[in-house]
Amino acid sequence: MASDKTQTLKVCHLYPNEMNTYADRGNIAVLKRRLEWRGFNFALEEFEIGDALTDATEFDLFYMGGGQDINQIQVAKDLAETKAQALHDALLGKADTPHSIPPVGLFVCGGYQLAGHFYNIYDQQLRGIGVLGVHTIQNESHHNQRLTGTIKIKTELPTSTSQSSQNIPLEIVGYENHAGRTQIIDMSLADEEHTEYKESASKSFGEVLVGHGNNGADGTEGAITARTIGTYIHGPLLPKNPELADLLIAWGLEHRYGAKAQELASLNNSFAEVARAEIS
Amino acid sequence: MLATICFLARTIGRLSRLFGRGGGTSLPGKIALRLYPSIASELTSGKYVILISATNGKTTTTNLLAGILTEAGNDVVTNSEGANLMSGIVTALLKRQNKKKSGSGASQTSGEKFAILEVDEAVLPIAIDSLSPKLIVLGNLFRDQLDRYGEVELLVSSWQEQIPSGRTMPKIVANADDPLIISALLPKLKNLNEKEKIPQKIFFYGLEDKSIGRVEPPLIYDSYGCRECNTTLSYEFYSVGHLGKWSCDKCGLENCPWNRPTPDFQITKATTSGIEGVSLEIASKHPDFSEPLHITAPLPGLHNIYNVAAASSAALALNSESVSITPQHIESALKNAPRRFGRFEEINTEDGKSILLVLAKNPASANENLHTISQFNSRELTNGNPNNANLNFLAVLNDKIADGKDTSWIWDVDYEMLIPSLSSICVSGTRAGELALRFQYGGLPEEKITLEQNLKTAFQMCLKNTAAGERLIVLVTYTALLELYDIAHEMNLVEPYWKKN
Repeated sequence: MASDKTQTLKVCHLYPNEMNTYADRGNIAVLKRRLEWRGFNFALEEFEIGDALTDATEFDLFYMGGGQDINQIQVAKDLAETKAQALHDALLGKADTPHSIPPVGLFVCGGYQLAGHFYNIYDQQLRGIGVLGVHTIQNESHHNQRLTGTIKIKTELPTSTSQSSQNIPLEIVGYENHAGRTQIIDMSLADEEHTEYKESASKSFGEVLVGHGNNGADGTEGAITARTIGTYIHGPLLPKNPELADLLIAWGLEHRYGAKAQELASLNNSFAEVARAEIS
Repeated sequence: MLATICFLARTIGRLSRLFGRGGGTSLPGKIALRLYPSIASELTSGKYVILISATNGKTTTTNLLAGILTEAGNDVVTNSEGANLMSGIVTALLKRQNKKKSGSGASQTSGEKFAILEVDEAVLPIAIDSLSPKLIVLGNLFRDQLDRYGEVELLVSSWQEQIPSGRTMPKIVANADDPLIISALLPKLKNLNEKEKIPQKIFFYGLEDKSIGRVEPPLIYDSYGCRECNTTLSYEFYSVGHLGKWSCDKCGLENCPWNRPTPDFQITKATTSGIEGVSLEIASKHPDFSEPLHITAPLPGLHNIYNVAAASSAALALNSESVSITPQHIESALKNAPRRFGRFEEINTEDGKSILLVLAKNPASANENLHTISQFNSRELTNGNPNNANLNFLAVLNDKIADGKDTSWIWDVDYEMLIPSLSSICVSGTRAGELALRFQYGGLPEEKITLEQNLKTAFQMCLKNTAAGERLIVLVTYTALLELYDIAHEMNLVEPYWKKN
């Protein structure tokens, strides 16, 4: 039995049935085990098509994985109807939270595309959540030339919101496979009509060392706004990148418990080290 | 020209076998196609060409159908070694041509000449184009090698657009239980008017025995809603992955073209009995088969019920043409079907150990194999040593091109169903670390996982830890299976695979 002192991370998994192309279950398994190995509780709630998400403040981490275009079309429609507003407000820190720290968002591949403002598949426009300041376009030439292969990026992420926060340098490895090309929106050029874009202003998640990243052209990979990360990196992302997993867990606990969030004990990552070295 | 190329191909085949790589199953064809692009159609002229495509089960179905047609006295050429790109198909055809030249294996039969060829899903449109098949068998579509195919849906649309319709449409035998196969055939099903139905061009097979179905939906599935109205499909029962007895409750009206067709060949009874294999009853409306077929096949697992049904249905669909196939041909060919090429293939060592080779190359195939293994009784798991419930298990993951460079699929495999019965596991291959992570996050403690990247070392170690009378189960990806054959051959456990199979 968990005592009252046991801290809990509550995860909201968005569309596990529709958005799971790249074994996204693996990312959830990593969050669960790394919490449980350290004596924390892991709580999970799944939201499918038709499930209304009205109160997003009870969750510490939101996750959405990759999906095929055919699934994304249905998910985009459902997001707009049942979830997008609550997600947008929570992830941008506009909803009430006890410590004024926004929850964590992790959006991978198709999930990343739908976390942006829009995703144009040929002449069909899908509206996204708009928490990340990006948009994605797929035309026929993109369709014929998917960006596929091993990817490595480097980035730096802060440990917490406190004064003593440090920036941790990370090298993140995985695999990418996408037809859509994503651009980070330059907010200084954002249209007057789209002032609402500005609160979602994103930096890139990292700089591409190997692979294609957002669009194969500008050397950026993914996007980050507040504590929401969008990335094309799967493989899945977290098993081979345990430091990133721990950082997301720490952010999520901070969202829930503020300065009282317990520290994470270090774990043996030897299999992850072997797995990272195997990537050619 | 053809003779020169055949000679050249023979030489290349011998050379690449000498170098011990690939068994010469693809290289001769690759070179021949480069030199003489129309060689495939030339080598199949005068033959009744049957193409078999699916994500899973192509090799088995091809071998089963070849067995049935051979049993019925026909002359059959096939790419039984699983080399299913155009290069592998041409290699198999060239090999036969050469055999005939040299007089050995020349046809002594009076029946029809068949080329029964398994084809990679992405290559199917090209193969149809260059081989003009009279029959194609479509088994299933699952996520697999997405680094090559992009999305499963892209295969569905390529089949939709590129399998010929109208007058040039081949006869099709298809799995009614896979909504993705129905999607791929949707334009044809919509256009089939009564006139085109006679003579019948599309035949379906499907599982009607609820008792073997699964109530719980699979963890992942690759088919979602109805193509007409987007409603999530209902299932009376699931079978393999997203296969099952499905329907659309909203628009599943009789006139809706997008629904599970009533199978022409119905699996009315099906049972699996552990490692022994499967037995099933197939009923059909065909006038020549008023009595159902009673089939047993020594191929374990629910997925093999589909392979058996696909091969039997194709044989039954052929029956209306020039060939004559009796229930006895089917029943007797399947009864003795060999388990080949890593499909629960058993190798017995001289010191009384048994090695069970299980090929698992995508989530659907791996999940079915694990299901099958999890239903083995303890005798079958450990090979008759009930006092030692210790399961000896080696899992190998490679990420070469033929395996798929992207290994994320292992996270979609439900290894969790096996983990409680594992006291330890050895992981190996070019991505052993990834596999170690998979088992660790699946709940197997780190100290129970032995990581040995070198496959030979891993295999020898596992074999050493397997006592006489015990069984070692080896779960492998495609290229790991080829490597393992080489290693086992070096250890004098097996003949080289290209001779063996």
